[in-house]
Amino acid sequence: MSGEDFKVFFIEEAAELFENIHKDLLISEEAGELDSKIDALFRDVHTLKGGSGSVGLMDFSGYVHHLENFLDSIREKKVNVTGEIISFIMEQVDYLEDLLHEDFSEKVNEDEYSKDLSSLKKQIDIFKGVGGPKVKKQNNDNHNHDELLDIYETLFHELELASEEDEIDSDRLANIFRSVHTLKGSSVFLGLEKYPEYIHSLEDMLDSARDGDIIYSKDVNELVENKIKVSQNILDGELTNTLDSYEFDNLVEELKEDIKDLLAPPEENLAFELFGFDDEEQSQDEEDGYELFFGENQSKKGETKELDSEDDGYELFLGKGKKRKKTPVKKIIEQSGEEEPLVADEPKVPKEEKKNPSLKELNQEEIKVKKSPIKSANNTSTKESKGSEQKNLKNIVSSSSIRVGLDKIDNLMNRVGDLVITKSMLFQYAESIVGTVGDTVIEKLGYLDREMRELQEAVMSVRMVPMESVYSKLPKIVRDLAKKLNKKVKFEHYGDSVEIDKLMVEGLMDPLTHIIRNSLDHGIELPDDRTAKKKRAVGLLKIEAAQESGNIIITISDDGAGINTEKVGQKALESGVVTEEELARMEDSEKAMLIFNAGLSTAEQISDVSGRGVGMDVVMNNITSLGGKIKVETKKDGGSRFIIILPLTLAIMDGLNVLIGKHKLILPLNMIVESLQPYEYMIKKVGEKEEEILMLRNEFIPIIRLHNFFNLEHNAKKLDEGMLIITRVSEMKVALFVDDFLNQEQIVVKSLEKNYRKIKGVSAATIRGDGSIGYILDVVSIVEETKVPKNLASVAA
Amino acid sequence: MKAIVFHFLDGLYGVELEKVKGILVYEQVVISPLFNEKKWVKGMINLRGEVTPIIDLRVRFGESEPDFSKDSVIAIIKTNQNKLIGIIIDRVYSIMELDEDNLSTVPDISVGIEPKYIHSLIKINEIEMITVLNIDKILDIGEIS
Repeated sequence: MSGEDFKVFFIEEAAELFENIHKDLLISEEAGELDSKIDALFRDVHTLKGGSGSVGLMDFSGYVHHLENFLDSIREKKVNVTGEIISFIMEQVDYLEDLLHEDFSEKVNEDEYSKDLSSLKKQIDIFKGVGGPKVKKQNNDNHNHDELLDIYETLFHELELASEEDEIDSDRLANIFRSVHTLKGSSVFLGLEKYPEYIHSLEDMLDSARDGDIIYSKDVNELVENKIKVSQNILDGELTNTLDSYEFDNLVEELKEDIKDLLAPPEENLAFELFGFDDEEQSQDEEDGYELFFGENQSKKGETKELDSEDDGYELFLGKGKKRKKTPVKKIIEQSGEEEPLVADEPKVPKEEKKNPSLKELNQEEIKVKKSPIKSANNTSTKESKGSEQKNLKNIVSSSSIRVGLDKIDNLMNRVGDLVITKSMLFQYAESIVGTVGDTVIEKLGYLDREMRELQEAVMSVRMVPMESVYSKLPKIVRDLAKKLNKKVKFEHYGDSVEIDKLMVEGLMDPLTHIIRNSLDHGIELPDDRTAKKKRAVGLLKIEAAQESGNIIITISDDGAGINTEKVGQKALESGVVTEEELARMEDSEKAMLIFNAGLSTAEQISDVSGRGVGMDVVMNNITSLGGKIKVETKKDGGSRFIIILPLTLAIMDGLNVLIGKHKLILPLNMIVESLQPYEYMIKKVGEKEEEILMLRNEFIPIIRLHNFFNLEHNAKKLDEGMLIITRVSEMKVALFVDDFLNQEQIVVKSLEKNYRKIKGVSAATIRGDGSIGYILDVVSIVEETKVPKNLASVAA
Repeated sequence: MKAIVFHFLDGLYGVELEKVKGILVYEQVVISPLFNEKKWVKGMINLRGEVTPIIDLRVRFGESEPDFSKDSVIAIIKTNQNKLIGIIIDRVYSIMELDEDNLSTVPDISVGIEPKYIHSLIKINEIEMITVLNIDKILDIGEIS
């Protein structure tokens, strides 16, 4: 894979990550808290950072970094999460998505970028300030300060005890470490910045001591004591704003130098090993502790990163440590294993990183450095996160899957299509064989037919994706829009696992989005209006998917105001879509259907959401081009319901051959209700034009003579000489008159538009077994174009 | 310019060779007639799994009756609209390298073909010339329907 390939790969993964992030944020927003999702969010954002960095999207990665830090503070509970903060994060994530595309196409405007970045930082600072710690600082300043003094007292006590001991045991060291750690934590709470940085280095040193990289000797103990004293001065300085930053930097440098000097050369490890072997019993004990620690570590790996579990491990270790008196310091060597030059690498951690007083962040960086000390911190982090990212996604998606280009699947589909054609060619030939041989061949071909249908289904299923992939983007759309419109909406979706042709998903997104926008904009009322109507203030928007007899049925319903059919009718009249006469005869459901006409919008005020009257006609067109149908039901103040009926697949279908004169045409089988040869008395003529209608049981069904529609010569002159095929078009029945109907056949749908254009009354073509082309009738447009009288249709409905 | 030159109507006509994606023998092709289309749209054929329209150029240029012989062929053209369309021509004469120096863009004859459909006229010797068709224009979907 080239760099570009990696980039594209990352973009694909980023899309999934963004989807996850949106989903989590939406859930959080609803719950009004981030606690349950913060880990997942942090992880995803972290992965974004790592991934983008590794493919060289530096601007993006830089921005994500700051957001990640902010999330980290939330995770550390340093910031009180408010609805405002969640919204803020959502905005930032939106911005990130844009930024990603800009960065990808190398179109980032540097000026704007740095402006945005600094406004992000500022906003984060505000949140960090307002969101809790700063407030706390004012109220609890003294209290915290006192707390720090208490810790110092304990710390000095421990240090003193340590200096008196011949052999400083791990418990003592752990206590010292803990105190220093608490100092850092509390000082961060006070809103201090310099002091924690200093303490952090100190803490690092103690950590190395715990790891066995530094022998915690009496000298070291003394050094620590001195440094702690220095830290007290820094603390005082920072609290009284008299700290000289130059001096501070020097102190930090000094501390680091000292630590470097202390860092154990390789032989020291050996010394420790010897040291650790002095007690058999203890080493047994140690084994247990290690086991336990490791077990904990393992179980955590699944949900959080190793990085986190390291921390958990530490806590656990401390707990264990209390029980086991006098366990040698060496213990922890096992944990860190081969990763020795811990502190030596520390300075490589980018400066920016360190300025940030967050503990976790720093720990993470360190741990990454530990994993492969040879590489620079940055490289390692990206590598790391790439690996864990894949692991994560795999966990989410399924046990094993591969990405395949759609073109490959299409190709596979085409090959199967060719096979189907070849099969019908064989069938045609076999039928011409006279005698028992012919029969046998046909029988054997039957097996082939069955096998091929199964093959075809299997190939089809590859292209099927769950509705989830359609739904995943919707909650975000609903949420953003509702917010913009000041409406309160609950969004529910059902049938996530119903499968749909991938090709259809693309064509479906626009119409669905449109309908949802419309429902939100015109359907669901403002909370106050809803309360006035004695409805719940929060509106309900629901989308459902189901598979029913070879169709996918998608229903979008809201409990809003419903479509104002009178107004729609009036508009339609004004724009000349219907005549007054027609309108007068229309039922409410038909008037509602008028919204699908071009140029109709009842919105009194044109908003940028909807209301320009373009849209619903596009919805209709899109659905029709997918071979589907749409209808709408509405009730005043009860809401509206849009029902979309789609075929399962676009590629292969069952058709019925019908004959008109010499032409063999194909009717899609799923549109056919029944067929019959009518008796004369069943045919009635109505209206001035003597429209023919079929009286069947209790229904009156309009008749369309297909030979008239296509101007074809035909054999059956009178209706009772031919056949009537009753089809259902959007809840309306229409009888199509043909000479005869022939066999039923499985056909592979081929586009006519690819090399030609749309042909009136024909939706597509197919290649027959004999190599000729069969034309598939477009029943919907035939019915539309013949303008079946609406009044009749309503009788029939 | 390399061109495929063919007998058509009463003369020699040419189409830029680059546009020609294949030649089919007319007699061996099953053309499924359409309905409601212009009369020069003969119908559709199956071209390696693709449904491809066939245009009868003779009818297109005003001859009332199609005239097919066993020499008639279908040339499959890829138009600049990226569509594959077959044209029925009388007989392939040859593939020739046409010297564009002898090119004249002023069509001074008319065989019922509108000037906009003619790319150029090229003289190949003292007595013969070739009418190079502007095949993209002829097969423009808007033009044939």
